[in-house]
Parts: sequence; structure tokens; C-alpha cells
Amino acid sequence: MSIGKKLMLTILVITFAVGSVFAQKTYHIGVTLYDRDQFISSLEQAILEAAKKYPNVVVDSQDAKQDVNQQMAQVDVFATKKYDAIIVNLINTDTVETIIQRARGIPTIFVNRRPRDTVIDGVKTAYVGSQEYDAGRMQGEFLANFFKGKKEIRYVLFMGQLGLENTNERTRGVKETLEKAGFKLTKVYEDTAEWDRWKAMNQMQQLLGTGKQFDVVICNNDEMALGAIEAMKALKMDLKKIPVVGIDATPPAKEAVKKGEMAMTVFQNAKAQGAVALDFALKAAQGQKIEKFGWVPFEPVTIDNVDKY
Amino acid sequence: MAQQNKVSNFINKYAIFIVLIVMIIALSFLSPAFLTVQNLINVLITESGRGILALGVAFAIISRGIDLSVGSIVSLTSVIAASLVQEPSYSARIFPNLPLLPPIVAVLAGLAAGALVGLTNGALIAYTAIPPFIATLGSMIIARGFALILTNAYPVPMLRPEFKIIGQGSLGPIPYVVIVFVIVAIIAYIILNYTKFGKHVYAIGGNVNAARTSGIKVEKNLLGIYMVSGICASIAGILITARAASGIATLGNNYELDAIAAATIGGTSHTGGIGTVPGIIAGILILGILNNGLLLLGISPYLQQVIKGIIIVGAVVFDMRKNARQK
Repeated sequence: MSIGKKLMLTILVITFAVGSVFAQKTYHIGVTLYDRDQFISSLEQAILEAAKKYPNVVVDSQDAKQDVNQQMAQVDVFATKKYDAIIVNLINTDTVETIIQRARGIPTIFVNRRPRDTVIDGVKTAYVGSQEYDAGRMQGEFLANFFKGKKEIRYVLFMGQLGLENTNERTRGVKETLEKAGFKLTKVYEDTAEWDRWKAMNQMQQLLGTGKQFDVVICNNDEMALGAIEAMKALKMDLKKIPVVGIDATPPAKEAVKKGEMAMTVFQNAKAQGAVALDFALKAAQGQKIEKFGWVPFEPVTIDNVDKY
Repeated sequence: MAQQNKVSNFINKYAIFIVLIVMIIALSFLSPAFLTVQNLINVLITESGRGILALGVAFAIISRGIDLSVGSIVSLTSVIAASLVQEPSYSARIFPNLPLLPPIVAVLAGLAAGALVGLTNGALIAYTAIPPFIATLGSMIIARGFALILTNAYPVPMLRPEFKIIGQGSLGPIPYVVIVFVIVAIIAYIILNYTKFGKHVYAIGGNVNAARTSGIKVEKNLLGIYMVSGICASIAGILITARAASGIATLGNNYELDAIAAATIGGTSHTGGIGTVPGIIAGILILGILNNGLLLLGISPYLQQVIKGIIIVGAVVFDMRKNARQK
């Protein structure tokens, strides 16, 4: 064998060896979820589905059952196992600094529950979710179109848990959009029903009992909208004239939209949020540049397009 | 025959520690990450809160009672302490006009809340003769109600760093929360083994009538027992709040069950009069290591619950057999 051939062979062997090492680098990604409700479960499924596209990505998904102590313990374990990235669906957004500290330098992607912007650096940390304001804005745009020609809208508003970002932003979004469209908003009833169908239904029944008149029922989520609809149906009110709008596009809400009982809802794309979160986590794990925020758009759902969802 | 008896006695006496050691050995083989200093410290950090809770609850169980209110005391302490140490720059403070208080005030206020709930529990049990289960069930619901009223179910965020350091700081490699856990365990050990109050706790649990005839002031001791439990719960509440950097009204949900489980696995008998601090520590470590180990191995958290349940029931079955044989 000539020296030249030997050299070629050596280079070939080294190339293969190095190549196979790179090919075999497996990325471990830990996921901790606040709990497994319907929305978060489909988000989780999307993360797992997206991971299947890569033969060298392994996802370890855990839920913390709304216990912050357990969520921190899960991050501890991911860090101990030297995972390459962590996806966190926060239980409480105030714990974010502790979570980042416990992750000990491992890239951490937050999904769906938005931490303070100051902790997001776009290198080791990022946030993937939807602009909550837009969900409210879409309700507002739909209603502005519905009430075209009217000057005043007398509204009933059921809000989610007070103090949460999505409650505040969704509420601000719908109100500002209607005001900008030139409507005068008159409050007939406005309170939290804590995302809960039963609470919204009870409050609606009591409101209807007072005989007060209103033009629209705006809800921060579908469950409360469905509760309000139940109460209104019991009194045989015309849901075509008094629109009820929700957010989430849950399966029962989509049914209600099909039947014409719910005027519109807003689809929050759990699948896209999960897929983008995994994409961010993987890129961060490989040391690639990521954005600070991965925004997944909301989509309005009405009787015209409900079959698509 | 005598030899065999000796062996089985030994196993009976130290069963819980044998289980713990077997678990540690097994996990060391199953997961290389398990037996690292950092991981073991993580287990201690995670379990310190519930460990302190279990030590307090054990006082109630040894006296043949129970304390269901400890999880709620964690949440009440959490929001009270947090509301007193919010950053003054934060606009939505619970007490907007509060002057800058030293963090010790928040700690003491939290402890006072726990002591007060405990005192109420003790008084109800001692002087109205309602069963501890009912008395503490009531205060469990009431305490959580107060936590929600105080905060309107909002979290209490933006805590000052001087307070957060309690939960996040460490002395060398050992976090403060672990140090507090160890100190509380030592104090509990001393109280139960070397003080009159400790002996009375066992005596009341063993046979309340005999205790009374021998001159023990049962009522006064019951007040003390439930106050210990309440104060322990408050300590746990402060530690977890400082660590989470937020007061949370829903914190500590179901923690009473974890604490009771740990004490039970650790050999604290619900028929009263039996229970040791090392046993309880072993109990909490078993639950903690189980939690940590199953996470390390990537086993489903649902299966983890099944295993936890089996261990609790198994521990009690074993415990009753052991005690029956001794009698």
C-alpha cells in the first residue's frame, strides 16, 4: 500500500468515525406540564409527535399535578440526568427564576404560560405561546362586524381567574377592539366565573332573573360561554340575536357553534404550540440561535369554518 | 429457634431502614445519575417541606389523633408570609401601604398563623371531645378559605430577595432548607425522647385513661401536640414559599396526605403510642427516593401513584402484624 492510499484510508476511517459519533448524538428533552387537562394533553401529544420526526430525539414528559414543589423536583431530575433541553409549562409564573436556577444552564423553553419577559434571553430561554390579546381582538372584530350600524353595545362579560395574564389580555383585547371600532360599551354585568361552566351558568341565571337587557355575552373561555348558553336556553332566549362568544374551540364549543348556539370561538393551536416548543428546544440544545418568542397565531372559528377544526 | 427469632426481631425492628437501603442500592444500579451528591441534595430539598410536615403530624398520630389541616396551614402561611415581604415597587401588593419589614416579621407571622390554627385544633379536640379527624377537617377547609380570602386566589408575587434567600440560599453545598429540616428533626427527636411533654404524647396515645389516672394533664398536652403540628406546617410553608418565590393560596394541596403517608410508612402507628423520628425520616426518604427514582427512570407518574399506595397499605399491614406479635 502506498502512503497516499494509507492516508486516504485513514481519512476515510476518521470521517466515518466522526460522522457516526455525530449521527448518534441523541438529544434528551425533558417536559414538565402544569397538569394534564384537555388542552395541555394535546399540546403534549404534539411535542411527542414532533419528536418522532427525529430519530435521535428522546422526550421524557412528566406532569406536576399543579404542585410547584413537584415541578421544581422534575426540573432537578432533568438537570441531574444532563438532558439537552427542558420544556416547561409553568404552574406559577413566579417560580420561573427558581426553575431557571434549577435547570443549571440547560436551555429551557417555556410554553403556553408566559413568564416575565425579563427572564427570556433568546439563547438559553424562550417562550412559545399565543398572544392572548389577539384572542380578545378576534372576538372584538367578530362582534364589530355583527353589530355594524349600532352605536352602543350593552355587554355581559365572564372573565377567567383574576390576575392571570390570559384573563387580563383577552378582556383588554375585546374591549379595546370594540372601542376602536367606534362602539360605546355599556357594562350590564362583569365578573369572574373562574373559567368554570357551572359558575357562569349560575351567575347567568341570576342575571336573567333580574330582567336586565343586554346585547352580547363575552366570555374569556368556552366553558363559561357554554354555561351562559345553558342558562339562556332554559329561558328560550334567541341566541342568534344575542351572540355568545368564547375562546378555545373545545369539542363541545365547536358543536355549539355548528348548532348556531355559540356565535364564535377562537382556536388556540395546541398542536402548533407543542411543535414549535420542541423545535425551539432542539435548536437550543444544538446551540443554534433561537428567537426570544415563538408566537403561534389564534384563529377565529365561526359556523362558516368550524368544520375545518 | 432462638436464632430465628432474633433474626425476625431484627428485621421487624429495622424493616423500614432495610427497605430504604435496598431502594438506594437498587436505584444506584438502575440509574447512574441517582447516587450523585447533587441528586441526593435535590431529593432532600424537595422533601424538606413535606418532611417537616410529617414530623409535626407524627405528634398527632402518636397521640392517637390526626391532623388534616397541615396542608392548608402551608397555604395560609404561604400567603401571609409572602404578603409581608412583597417588593415595595410592586403596584398590586396585598398591603399597599406596608412599610419595609424585616423578613423575620414575615416568618414570625407565618409561624403565628400555624400555631393559632394548631391551638384551635387542640382546643376543639381537648374541650369539645369531637374526633381529631373532624376538628382538623374543619380547620383544613377554614384555613384554606382564609388563604383565598386574603389573596382573592391571586398569587402573591415579587418577594424581596432577603426572604427568598431562605429557600434558595445555601451554606456551602447544603441548602438552608435542608439545614432547617435537619434542625427540626433533631428538635423533634429531643422532644419525643427526652422531655416530659414527649413522654406524655406517647402515654396519651398508648392509653388515654391510664395517662389521665397517672396525673397527666391530657387537655393541656393536646393543645401542645396540635400546636407543634401547626408550627411544623408553617415552617414547611415558609420554606416552600421562599423557594417558589411566590405566595400561593393553593400551595400544599394534599400535602397532609403525603405527610400522613410518610409518618405511617415510617412506622408511626395509628393505634397510638408508637413512632420514632428516625422511622419518620426513613418514611419521608422512601417516598422522596421513590419519586426521584421513578422520575430518573422515566416511569409514568401514574404508575408511581399506584406504587405509593401499595407501599402505604403494605407498611400498615406489616406494622399491625408486628404490633400484634409484640402483644
